[in-house]
Amino acid sequence: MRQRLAISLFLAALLLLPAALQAQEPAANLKALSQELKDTDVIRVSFQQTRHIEALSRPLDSEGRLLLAREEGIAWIIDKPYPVFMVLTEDSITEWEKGAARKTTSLSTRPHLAALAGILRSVMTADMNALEKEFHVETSAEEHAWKMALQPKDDMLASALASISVRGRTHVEEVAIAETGGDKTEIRFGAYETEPPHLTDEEKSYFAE
Amino acid sequence: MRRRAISRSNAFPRHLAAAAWACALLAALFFLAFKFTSGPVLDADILNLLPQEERDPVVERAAEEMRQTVERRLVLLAGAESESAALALARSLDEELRRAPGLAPLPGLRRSGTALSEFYFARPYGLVDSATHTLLMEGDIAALEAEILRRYQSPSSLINSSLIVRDPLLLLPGFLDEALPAPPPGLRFAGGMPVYASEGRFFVPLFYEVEGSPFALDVQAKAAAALEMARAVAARAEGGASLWSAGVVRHAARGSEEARSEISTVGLGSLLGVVLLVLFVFRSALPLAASVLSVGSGIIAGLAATLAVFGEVHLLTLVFGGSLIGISVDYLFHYFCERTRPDKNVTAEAALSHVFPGITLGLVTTLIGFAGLWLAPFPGLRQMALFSSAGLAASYLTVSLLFPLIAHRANPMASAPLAAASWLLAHWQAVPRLVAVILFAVLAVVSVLGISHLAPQDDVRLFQSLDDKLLAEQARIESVLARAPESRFFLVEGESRDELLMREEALREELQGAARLTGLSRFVPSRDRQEADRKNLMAFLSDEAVMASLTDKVGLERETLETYRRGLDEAPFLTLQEWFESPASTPYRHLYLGETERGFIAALTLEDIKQEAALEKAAARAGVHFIDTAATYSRLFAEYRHKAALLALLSYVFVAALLLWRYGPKGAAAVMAVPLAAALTSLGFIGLSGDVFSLFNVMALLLVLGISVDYGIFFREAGSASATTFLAVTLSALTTLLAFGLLAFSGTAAIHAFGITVFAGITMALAVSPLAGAGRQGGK
Repeated sequence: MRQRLAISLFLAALLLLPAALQAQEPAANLKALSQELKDTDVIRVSFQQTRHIEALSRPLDSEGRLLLAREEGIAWIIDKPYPVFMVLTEDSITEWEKGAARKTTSLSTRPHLAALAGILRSVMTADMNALEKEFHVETSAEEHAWKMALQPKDDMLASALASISVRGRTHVEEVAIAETGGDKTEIRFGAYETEPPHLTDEEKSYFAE
Repeated sequence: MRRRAISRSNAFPRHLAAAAWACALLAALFFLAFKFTSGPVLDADILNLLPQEERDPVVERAAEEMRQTVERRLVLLAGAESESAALALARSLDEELRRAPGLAPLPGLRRSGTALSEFYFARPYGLVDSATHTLLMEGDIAALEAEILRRYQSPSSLINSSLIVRDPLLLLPGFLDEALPAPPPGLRFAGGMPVYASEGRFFVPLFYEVEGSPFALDVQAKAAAALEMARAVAARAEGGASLWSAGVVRHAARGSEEARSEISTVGLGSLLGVVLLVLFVFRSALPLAASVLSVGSGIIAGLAATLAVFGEVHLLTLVFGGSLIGISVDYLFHYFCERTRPDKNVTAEAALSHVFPGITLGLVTTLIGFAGLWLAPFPGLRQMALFSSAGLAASYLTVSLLFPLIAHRANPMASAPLAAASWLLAHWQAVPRLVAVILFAVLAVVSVLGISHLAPQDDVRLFQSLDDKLLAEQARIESVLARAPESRFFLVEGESRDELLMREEALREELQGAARLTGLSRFVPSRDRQEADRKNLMAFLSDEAVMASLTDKVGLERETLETYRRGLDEAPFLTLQEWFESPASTPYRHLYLGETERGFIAALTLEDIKQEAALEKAAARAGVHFIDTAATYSRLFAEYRHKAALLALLSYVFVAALLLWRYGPKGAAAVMAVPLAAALTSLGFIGLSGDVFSLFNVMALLLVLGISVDYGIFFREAGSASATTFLAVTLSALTTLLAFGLLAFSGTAAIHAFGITVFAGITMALAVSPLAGAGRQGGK
């Protein structure tokens, strides 16, 4: 029941995936992207997310920005449906509303999440071997775009997660996650911003204790 | 000069008595052979030496069971330079150790977490976290509604259809977060195993339990073998492998090992000293054989008496008992010094008659000293007292009954030692009174100065010598796991299981913020609480505005909510029984300590203690007990240190009265000066040397009394014929000093205290005792 966030995290990992795909036989765009992101420390990107949950009569929408920092971790700055911050570091999740106290939870009570955070780390360090340990990876190229389908190898992960598909051109544009229970999540991303190349003071404060 | 007579009765058929005593010794020997072959007789559990606090037996039993659970744990930490190497090492270690006899694996971290989630996922009705519980109790419908909407809209909520159908208000995740133990930072899971990252290395913990008491020697041997095997596995592993382990069993095994080596040091050291002295002074095989007989009968009787009374003998008793060799040989020295005088021919009979009053009074006063040890309710001290008293009495009987029979012919001893003794004695006794008085006055002042520096220490470490290396290894493990074991805990009782859970809930609420408590009620709320939460949730759901908001804003189906509400109304309440039957409870089952004659009892463990004072205060609640074993012992030690001081004083007075009866005021004062000077110097020495001062030093003063007063008595009895006495006393003192001097090197503070106190005291007694007889002229 905890895989939802895990999946969001996984997406974040996928954003950096191109950097890890050099060894594959990808489309030219994908190759260019991975080269471009190879030495990038910070990536900022806007997103729009829609969750289709079978048990609910209407989808749950959210949107905001995503901040990926190679050293510090990942921050979600969510604007809608209401503003909230969520930060994932190596071993914990912190969540807070603007001006309110931060609530930190360790990842170890969330084995699914912890496992995915591990995958995330291996993606961030371009450790394709580790990723292929956890997933069956299939890539395909179209005229101006590339596609990738991931299926978990691990039984525990597979019991919750059916498949993940990723689509992009010069960057990751769309990710779709299908859960075994029938719930689906779609996320669309805007263009990557890599300037300034380091975290601004405000961005640093997200990761502060 | 008045003196009461102590003489042997000739009416008693002496040969018959000797034969009876020989038979008794043989019987004791057979008894020992039987005991040693019929089962374990050695005890190594430190706690068995300590007094039981006079506590409610129900609480005592439960606390004991809880302690045993903790004591049986053994933690291994497999470390390596990479995560994969650490995991590989942990897997191969686990494979080996699962096969090791005497060890059982404890459930790992991840599996228990998953089992818990599954268990509660099937029973989602009305289990809420404490913040939600408060909102429900306050009836703050608006706040609860806002909170539920927030959970649905928050991107971090871990929701999916199967959860929503069962738990549409998303209450269970909060409950589980509270129930599961707070994990330390730096922990993650890989392939089902927890991995800790620390200082650039990776560690995987493995948890086991030894089967049986960690203080049982066979359990220690099995654990040691398993650890040896584990070390071999780690030595073969690659990637900078390391292996650390910690557990009470390791300390206990180290303690047993140390006690064994001390037994042989003290025992062999004393024996060797006796043999060398006997050979040097008496130059003949007979006294040597006699000393073996005398010491041997002492050890046989001591062991037999201890086993008969206590069923087993503690390793530390044997360490202490090793010093018995040095005391029990005293009677023999007196006998042979008189019997084999180089200057005149003394028959076996005459020799015994001559020393008999001295050694009899000596035995009685020493036994008074040991009786003092017996009076304190320390099982350990009682055992030591019994062992030593029985042993001494047996040596005495052997000397007085058997020696006249075996020592028909004896060569005269070497003349040199006696001549030296005579010369020394003459000069010492010739020292002008004034000089002696000044000398002792100075010594007294220095001693009093030392006594004023005594630094009392009363804590359980007096009985426990913890190895520094093991402690360092344990500290490294604790630092990686970010978790230090806490030996204190709460016990909560209730007439029913439900009352038990309610009391736990009240206790946890009181201590919120003071410490983190893990108890059964965290996993199974009391029936009252479940009922109240369910009732309030049903009320919440019957609010039309709430229903509208949940269906319209979130998109929940009305039917889902109706089904959930029926569950709240109809589903059976979660019970402890049900929880115990699930594998989810495995890591926590030991907290339940079962039924007692007045209801049920369970433990709550403590972590993260922030307010010490709050813990003691909470113990005042009905049915709540705070168990702090270390503090309990410290209190006991302090209390008994004061009691023992009084006891020692009484013993000195009692012995003084006995001496008054035999020697009159002047003689008694002269003899009593010996133990008094000894005790004063001994305490002064401890104070000045900065040694720890504890109950056991005070207890040792009883021994100082028992032994040193003998020296005074022997001189008083011997009168002018005191060169042989001086020789005998010097020999006795040397063996005693050797024995207790060796005890002073013990790693166990209690034993060390005995050693150092007696050593200092007896040294002084040896110096003072010749003066005790000096004032008296003429033989008897």
